Amino acid sequence: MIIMPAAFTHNAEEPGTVRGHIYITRDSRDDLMGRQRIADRYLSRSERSPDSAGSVKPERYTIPEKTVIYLEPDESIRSRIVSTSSSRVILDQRNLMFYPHVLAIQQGTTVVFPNNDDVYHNVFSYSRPRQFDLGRYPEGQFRTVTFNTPGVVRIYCDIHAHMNATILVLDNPYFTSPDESGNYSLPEVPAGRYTIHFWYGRNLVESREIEIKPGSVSTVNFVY
Amino acid sequence: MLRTVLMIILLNGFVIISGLTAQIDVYGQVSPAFSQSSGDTPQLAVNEGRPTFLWRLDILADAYITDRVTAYINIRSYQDQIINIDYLAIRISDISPIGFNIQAGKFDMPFGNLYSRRFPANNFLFDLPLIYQYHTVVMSDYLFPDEQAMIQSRGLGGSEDLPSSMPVLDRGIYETGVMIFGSIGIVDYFAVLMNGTVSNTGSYGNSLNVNNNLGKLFRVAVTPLFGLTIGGSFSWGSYLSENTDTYLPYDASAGDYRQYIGSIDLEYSRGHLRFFTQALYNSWEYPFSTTKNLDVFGYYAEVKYTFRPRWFVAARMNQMLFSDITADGIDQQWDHDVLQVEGGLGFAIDRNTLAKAVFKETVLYGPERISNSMFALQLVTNF
Repeated sequence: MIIMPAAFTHNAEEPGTVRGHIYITRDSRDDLMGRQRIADRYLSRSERSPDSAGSVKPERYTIPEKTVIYLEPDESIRSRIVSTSSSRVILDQRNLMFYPHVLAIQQGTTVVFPNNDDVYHNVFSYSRPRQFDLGRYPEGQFRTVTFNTPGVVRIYCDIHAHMNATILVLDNPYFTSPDESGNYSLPEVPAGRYTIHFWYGRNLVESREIEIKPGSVSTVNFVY
Repeated sequence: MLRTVLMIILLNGFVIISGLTAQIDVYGQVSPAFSQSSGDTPQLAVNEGRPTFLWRLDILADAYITDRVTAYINIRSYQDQIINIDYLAIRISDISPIGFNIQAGKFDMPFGNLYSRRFPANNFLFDLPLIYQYHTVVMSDYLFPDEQAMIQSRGLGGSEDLPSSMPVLDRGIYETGVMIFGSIGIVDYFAVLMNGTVSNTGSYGNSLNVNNNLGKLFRVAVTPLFGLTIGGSFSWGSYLSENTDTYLPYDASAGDYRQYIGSIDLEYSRGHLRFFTQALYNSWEYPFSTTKNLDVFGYYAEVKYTFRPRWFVAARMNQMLFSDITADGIDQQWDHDVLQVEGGLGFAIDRNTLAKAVFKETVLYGPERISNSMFALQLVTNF
């Protein structure tokens, strides 16, 4: 971990920035497409992949699609940080996968689940923050779910057992995903103490305590 | 014991060899259950009506040898601890310009739309539909001497008195053979040559052909719109074992007597609703002096509705109606008509674990009405 606060003094109300780099040094198989082919042995026409007798080419998520960096404020500043959003974001279903694999949203956000495959999908979650079952709907249609309670929501397809995604419902807007090269930046963060979390694929990989000082730029790198 | 050891060695060998040459996925289901039944029909009384705990294990493995060659295996065992191989097949995909596929080995016959409902995790209820498991009085290796003898045995299918009695469709219809299949537009097609017939497979025997004829099966299914698939299946073949020598006409052989069966099925799903139905007409040729065919009409209709996350209800109605034969100058049905109604409640404990409670009432319409009931609780988990 490298934390480099700025050396000069700033207004206490002035926000800071957290930035860093995500280093991926090993393989993660939890996003592989392969297991879809198992189900094809018994699925009916409206459920199975178009190339049911052969193989569906495995795809891998990119770093931005499976990585989230987010901040959890210390109790001393939580009341100033916590907020709600009414925005809408998309968790896509295409090529028999969810995109992105990890989606961070602010509480109050509505997630749109379009089906862009020519087979049925049935999105559901049994996670405590938000349980739902959207039923089966075909290509070109979508369903929506609003997430009002912070927490980790595991998303699945009832038909295609390999399909999974994670929605991180957060109580503040300070989260981001890195770019393709692994660089990320969280600007305009109110000064104070935070826990910074690194989520990769289906798991919370690492958490660290940091202090963001007014006008400072803190660098936090993570390695997986 | 020896058979069990051999099966374990076979599975391990499959995994090891496949692991060296291909991607392999191994997965399965475990499903313990409790069952309590009542009634006087032997085959409907689980463990003669005693309260009984049961279990089933399925282990499946898929080995992807190349992009076009896949090997499949499914090993199943119940509380009797006999290991059965339901599925052991090689599939070669995309063979010609029109992209048909060939599969050879032992696999589920594509008759109807049972699909993954063969497995407890995908079966909304406890048992298979009635037409897949209700044993009639027709046996695969024994002939009744005359119509009157058959009449006297009505309702005893599946009992110790009729040990080789057959259902119309033999449970999951797993049989050894070769299949050509594929899709053209919205149409799926299947053509199969197999050892036995759909009522007398080798699932629980040595899987070899039991007479000199091969069974044939054809299926066409069309999916005109999302979620709706309508299929038609037809199969015929010799259902009697070659060692059936009692009461055969002097100039006939077991292979002369065939099963002809045709079926239409429909599947519809949308939102939280799933619906399946299948209706069939089956005819067994039989060497009675006055009756040439033993016919039966059967159907089921099944619905599942998820009424809130984790919870579903399901119901199935089954019926089998038997044709008349003439015994002592009187037309009588050759087996008792059967009506069965099932209802179930399911709860998903988590994504991979399901709990079900199922109640089933079965009525046989003989000279007297015979009622049978069954209650079952089942846990299923995927791994």
